[in-house]
Amino acid sequence: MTQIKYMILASRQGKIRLMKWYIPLTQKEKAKILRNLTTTILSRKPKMCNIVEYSDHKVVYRRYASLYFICGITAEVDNELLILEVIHRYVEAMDSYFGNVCELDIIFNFSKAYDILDEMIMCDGSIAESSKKEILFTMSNMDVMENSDNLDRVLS
Amino acid sequence: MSSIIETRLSPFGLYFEKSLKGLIKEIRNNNNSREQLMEFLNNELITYQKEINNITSTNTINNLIVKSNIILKLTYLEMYGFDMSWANFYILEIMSSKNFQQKRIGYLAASQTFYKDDDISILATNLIKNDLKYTFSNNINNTNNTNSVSTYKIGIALNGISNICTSSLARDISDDLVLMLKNKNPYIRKKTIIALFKVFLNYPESLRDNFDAFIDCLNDSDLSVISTTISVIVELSKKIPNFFIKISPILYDLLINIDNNWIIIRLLKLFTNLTNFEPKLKFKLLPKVLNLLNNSNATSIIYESINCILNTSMLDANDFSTAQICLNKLLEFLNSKDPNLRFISCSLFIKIGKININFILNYSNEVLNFLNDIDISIRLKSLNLLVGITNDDNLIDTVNILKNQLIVNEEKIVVNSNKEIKILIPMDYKIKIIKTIINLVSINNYSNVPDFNWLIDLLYDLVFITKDSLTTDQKELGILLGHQFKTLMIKVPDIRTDILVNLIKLINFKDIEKIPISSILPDIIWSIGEFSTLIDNCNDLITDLLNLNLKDTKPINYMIITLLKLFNNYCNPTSDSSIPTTENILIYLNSILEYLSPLSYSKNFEIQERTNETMEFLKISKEAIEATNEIPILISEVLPGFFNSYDLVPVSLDIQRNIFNNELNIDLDTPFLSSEEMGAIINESLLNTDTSDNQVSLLKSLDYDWDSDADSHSDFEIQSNKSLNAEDHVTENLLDVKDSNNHAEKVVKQKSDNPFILDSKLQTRSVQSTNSLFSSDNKPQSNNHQIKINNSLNSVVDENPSEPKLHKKITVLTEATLPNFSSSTGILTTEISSLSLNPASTKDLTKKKKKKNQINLNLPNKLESFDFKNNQITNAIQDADLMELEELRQKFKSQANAERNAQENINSDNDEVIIIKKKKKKTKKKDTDGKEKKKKKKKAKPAVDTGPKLLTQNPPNII
Repeated sequence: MTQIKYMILASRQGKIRLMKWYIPLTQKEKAKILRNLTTTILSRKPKMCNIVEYSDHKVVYRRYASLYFICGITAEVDNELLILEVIHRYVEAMDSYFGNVCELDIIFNFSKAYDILDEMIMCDGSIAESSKKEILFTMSNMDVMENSDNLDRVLS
Repeated sequence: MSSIIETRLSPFGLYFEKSLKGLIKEIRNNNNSREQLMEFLNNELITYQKEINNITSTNTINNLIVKSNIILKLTYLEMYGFDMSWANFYILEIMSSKNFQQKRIGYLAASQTFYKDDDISILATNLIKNDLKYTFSNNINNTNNTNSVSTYKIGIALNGISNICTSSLARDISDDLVLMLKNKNPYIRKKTIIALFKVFLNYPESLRDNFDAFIDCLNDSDLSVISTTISVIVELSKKIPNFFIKISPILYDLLINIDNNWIIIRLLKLFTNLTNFEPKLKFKLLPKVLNLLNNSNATSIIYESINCILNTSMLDANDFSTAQICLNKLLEFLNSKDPNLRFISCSLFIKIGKININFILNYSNEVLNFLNDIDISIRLKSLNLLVGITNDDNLIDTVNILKNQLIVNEEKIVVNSNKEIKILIPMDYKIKIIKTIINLVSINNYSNVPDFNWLIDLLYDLVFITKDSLTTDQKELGILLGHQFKTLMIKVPDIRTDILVNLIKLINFKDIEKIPISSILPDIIWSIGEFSTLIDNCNDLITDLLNLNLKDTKPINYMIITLLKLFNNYCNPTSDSSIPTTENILIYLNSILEYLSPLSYSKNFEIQERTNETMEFLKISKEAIEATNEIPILISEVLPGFFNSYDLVPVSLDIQRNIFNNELNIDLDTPFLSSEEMGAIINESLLNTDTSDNQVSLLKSLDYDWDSDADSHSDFEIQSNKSLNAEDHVTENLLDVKDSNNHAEKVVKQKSDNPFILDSKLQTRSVQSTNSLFSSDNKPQSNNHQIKINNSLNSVVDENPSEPKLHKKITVLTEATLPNFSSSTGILTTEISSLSLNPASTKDLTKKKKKKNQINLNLPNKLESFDFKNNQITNAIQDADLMELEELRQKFKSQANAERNAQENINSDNDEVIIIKKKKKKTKKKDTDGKEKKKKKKKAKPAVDTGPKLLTQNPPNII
């Protein structure tokens, strides 16, 4: 199992766009990690590697346009390359879902972004589904359901 | 007014609360400064709080719409770091909504904000249970429609479980979830398995009881179900590997047959965990893993395979062929353009080097390439590798590369012909470089250093560079550098003068006491003092030292004795011609006294002691000079006796302790003289008061000295113990020995005709220096012991013959060791062992094993550690269940008996009966097996033994 400790989406300005914690942390610890990570990772040059050692664990990140996808993983246990792949799959899934995804899509539909993430990664960051097709299928079904629910309400 | 209109309009589907989009837009508008944004967000929060509390409408559907909107906005705001635990109750409310969208929002908010042990999750238990059940009934109704609303509702609920699972929740839903493993929809099976993982963690009994059903999922038709099952097994195997050893054949088949990369990687991880627990597996696995390594195109699989080989000690320290296969693959990584692959190959190189340093010996060029990588983090990692690849040929080159990186703050690297990239060289990298350099040169007792003059220059340069380039205080570095100077001073006699020249240069730096590595000063000061015989004009040096404006206690502490040593060498120079006049001696004596006098009130105990000792001695000397106007015996004979009696030799760490632990049997308790004899002697000396005034004052002051000596000795003992415990340098010890020797000698010289009881501590310390003090009739044992040590010292002090280096003329002294001690290895070896094969790897292994054991124990403890009340409830419930079970079992038994009797009556075939009996036996065996297992797993609850298995197994077997 690939155990992801947390997944953070940060913009180039250091704004948090999405964060998902798979380990219980207090608000203070979270804030500290966010602060440290955004400064260290944003300052890295494009030619540098995507793996950073931070306190007791490793951080794998990847930049897509103006967004940084940051994952905290256990050192020595997890496969950094696999995490990069997971991040890529996530971005691909969002790309297909929103249709050429950009930062604004994620900001305004952050709950959808969370939902896609939840379909891919479940508790403690284990990968539940690696197939993009499957995820999109589930997402569209759920969206249909939401809409039909709303329709029901209007009709009633 | 407007609020009234809004509430009146809401039944018509018109809402005026800000939508999420509105909120986000406003946030963007208010984004000019941080203060403005925070103020805006705070206001928003307050509004939401008011809104959500003021919902008065009785229309629950509309209420929920409003609330879910607010909760969604709050979830968004949570990303700005706001605490929203106050809204937990509303979140629960939304979670319970029948509307799918609202439920989704509710669960999302819950998983974002519920802290694991929050009270709220107790309330959520019922809700989640309901969600699962509600959908159950729904599911049964339309089993054909696999993607019904209920499917996704279950999915959401399962997601929720995986995020907020407590032990009570786990206990309550475990059976439901196990049933759901048989669900027709793979989507639900998949999510159930993951949710079950959390349940297993919080409620281990569930795993015990449903192990087979859970493992069955490995045979699932859906690939993602298999994948998640393996994921969960990997995670569980970290904690309880013994549980999964027995299914390793199934897993091995999977590894061979499956060609999904995701699953293969996880299987490799799984086998890493299992092999560390059961080493036999590795013989079977290694061919398969090597096969994967050679035939796979996916870098992540190659990486994982190598990782698997290295982490499970599949790679034997002598298995060069396997190592070669791994290294060949790594070379591809290493020359790749992808920095990630380079980083990974670097860390794998380190792992291989840890197994056997010889594996990577031939890759020095590759490793040196790492040092010029664009990415600092790769360089940082590769520094660890250098120890493995340096030898006496490339040491200077390697160190020069490192040194050049120390000097610059910014480096320009040309990439892709024209592009130029500037990289900042961060401070922590520089610090690591310095540490690595020191480690590189000092390794194996400086055996790699081809030229010691180069080394001295290097160290001097390092001090010079760090002096300017470091911004923050670096105590550790200063101590490291200082130790290097001191160690070289002691170990390499031929270059002492050269080092001394450099040290005196350093002392004369402007503001040396304020540089970031000022912690180097104590060692410099000590070294200058100790080898001051090599200096001709000690008087000038005294002036220099007195001009230093020291603030820290540690350097001052060393300064006192150093001043005395310098003064000694000034007054007693090696050549008779340069003996100073009494006037000159008085000048320096006075200036030293002037320097010392404020220190005698120092708050630091040790400084005060040393100062007082020194001052008393100097004052007497001064009086003697002033009285006679010639150099008194105190200065010409007693003072040199303090310091010059013995040569300093390097001694291994811990050696002093070992002397007493292993070798010697010394009676330290019996005093030299009985108390009566003591009294007689004291009385005698008191009676002899008709000596001159001078002598009386001397005696008095010496008495005083004596006491303070004893005290300070005990102080030394403590200090040296500390240094033994902490990672410390040989020379630290040495210093203590030396100092205590000084004191002991002082005592010896001054008190040679006035014996006192030596307390044990003092004697411990003075053992090495005792020559004339303990006459043989007093202490025969101590005498024997002393000879031994001297012998051993002498025997090892010689040049190390095992490593004859042709081009090396300089002698490096090795630490003196006692011949019989295997344990006294010294600090250098411990440094090396960080990269040498066996100690490190075995250490790692034992560590891992320990960890496993701990976790193993943890599993049954997990429940107990949760909440005792809960536990009792569980017990009660289980007890009740047990009663029921017992009753049921009785019923079945009687039924079965009745049926069997009936059967026997109908066809009285003997064979039939035997078969039945056999079956019964088997089931019984199973039962006992099961019991044993359970007992092992959970000793605390023997009452739980008879699980539901009995119930399900017994009747069908018999019927």
